[in-house]
Amino acid sequence: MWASVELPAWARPLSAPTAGPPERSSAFPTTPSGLPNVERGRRLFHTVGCAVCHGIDGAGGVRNPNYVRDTIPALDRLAERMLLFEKADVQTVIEGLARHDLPDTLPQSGLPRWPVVRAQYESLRNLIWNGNPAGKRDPRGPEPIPMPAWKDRLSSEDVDDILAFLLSRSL
Amino acid sequence: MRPEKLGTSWVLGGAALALVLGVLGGLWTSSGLEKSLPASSVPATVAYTAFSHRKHTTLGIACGACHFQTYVEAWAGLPSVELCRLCHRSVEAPPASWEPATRLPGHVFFSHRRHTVSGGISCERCHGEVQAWDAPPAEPSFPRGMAGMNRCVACHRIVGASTDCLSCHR
Ligand code: HEC
Ligand code: HEC
Ligand code: HEC
Ligand code: HEC
Ligand code: HEC
Repeated sequence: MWASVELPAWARPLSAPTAGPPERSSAFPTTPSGLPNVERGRRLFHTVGCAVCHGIDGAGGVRNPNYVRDTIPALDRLAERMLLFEKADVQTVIEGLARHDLPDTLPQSGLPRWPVVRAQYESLRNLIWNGNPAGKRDPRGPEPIPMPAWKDRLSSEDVDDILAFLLSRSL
Repeated sequence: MRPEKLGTSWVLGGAALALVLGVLGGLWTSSGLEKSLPASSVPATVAYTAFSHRKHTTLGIACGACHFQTYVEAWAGLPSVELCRLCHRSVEAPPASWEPATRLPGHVFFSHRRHTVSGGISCERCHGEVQAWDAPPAEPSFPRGMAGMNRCVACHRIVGASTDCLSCHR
């Protein structure tokens, strides 16, 4: 399933196989969800570079020199950050992300705090799209690793799928 | 306890406590900083061919985060230069002819996914102490020739995987 995801040219590996066709598979040490947008998001998360800083499956743990916190934020509790505490609510949002019409359909979704959920969604998208400088711990110290801007590398659908994958970590 | 009854003494006490904590916190972080910070932060310009596994694994980056392919495909491949540009402003790409030292000849079939996922074998088991590499290795990290084949076959005997010539050779 993942292997069939077409990667942007810049994310393709540097070298080409010298021997035979590569064995194709959808396996990874975590359990596949069976949802196509979540699996596409999982593949993108691990190939475009998110996992390099935010860890495998968003588990965090990568050190950021002179950042206000010790490590680059983990992303595996994104559902809580979007104020989604019920699995059914997480599911509803993942479905909206799959249709790529989440902001328009949230008001009819029946989610209790939908305006907050929508605001959190917009702010996350904005942060991924435009990047963010990382706060310095020692103001005179070196520049920490910033969150890069992804607007030139990911499509709007890509970002929805990646968010769907991260939310699925709470299912 | 009702908040409006707390009175000014609590507020002043709180401020004093905050001051003490702030000073202690400052001392703690400034001494901690010297130990935890590398001499340079993120070097702006780097060469791909000078890549140091030690420096990056020390940051806490997982093998699979850069070598994701090793979990999903037979062919491991090498990370793209764009991956480096997420942190380094300018990256000198390797020459087109550049190859890793660890590469089998075309007549041997080897699948990373089969070993890392189905076999559950760690990278270190075959590639050794990659975390200590300061530069791309000069020697293959998995031996070439008969020494390499013997290592494949020895493990296959232990785990009960195929030792049929044709499962590895085509
Ligand atoms: C998550 C951010 C990050 C990514 C991604 C990253 N690096 Fe680095 N790199 C660093 C940091 C931080 C250091 C400094 C570490 C130290 O000095 O201990 C560093 C150091 C280096 C150095 C040593 C430079 C020197 O002057 O000491 C080289 C060379 C290098 N990186 C190359 C690369 C290459 C090639 C890639 C892509 C495969 C890459 N880096 C990806 C953060 C990153
Ligand atoms: C920050 C990205 C990054 C991380 C993390 C990383 N690698 Fe690499 N790896 C590279 C790059 C770039 C190369 C090509 C340059 C080189 O050989 O050093 C490479 C090359 C290799 C090679 C082939 C070397 C050769 O020339 O034969 C092996 C084997 C390898 N890595 C294993 C690992 C293992 C095991 C880990 C975890 C302990 C790991 N890598 C972590 C980026 C990374
Ligand atoms: C069972 C032994 C084994 C295990 C386990 C293993 N490798 Fe390898 N690796 C090899 C062999 C053999 C080669 C040469 C493969 C080839 O040329 O087809 C290789 C080649 C590589 C290369 C060079 C790719 C290239 O472009 O030629 C990288 C990078 C790499 N391995 C990374 C890893 C990482 C990361 C892991 C763990 C997730 C890992 N390997 C686990 C045996 C192993
Ligand atoms: C540390 C142990 C270990 C080493 C070293 C090792 N293998 Fe394996 N290999 C395994 C295991 C375990 C399996 C079975 C994985 C599974 O359950 O699918 C396997 C399976 C295979 C298969 C599929 C066999 C079949 O039954 O179809 C091939 C081909 C293979 N290995 C080639 C190689 C080659 C080539 C090398 C050396 C470059 C090598 N292996 C080194 C443990 C190892
Ligand atoms: C588990 C995998 C595996 C099995 C089984 C296996 N080989 Fe190999 N063989 C290898 C590897 C790996 C190499 C090393 C390729 C290299 O690096 O040059 C190799 C190399 C060779 C070479 C070339 C040696 C050289 O010095 O260049 C011959 C000949 C060979 N094998 C024959 C056989 C025969 C015959 C059998 C069956 C009895 C067999 N192999 C079974 C993995 C295997």
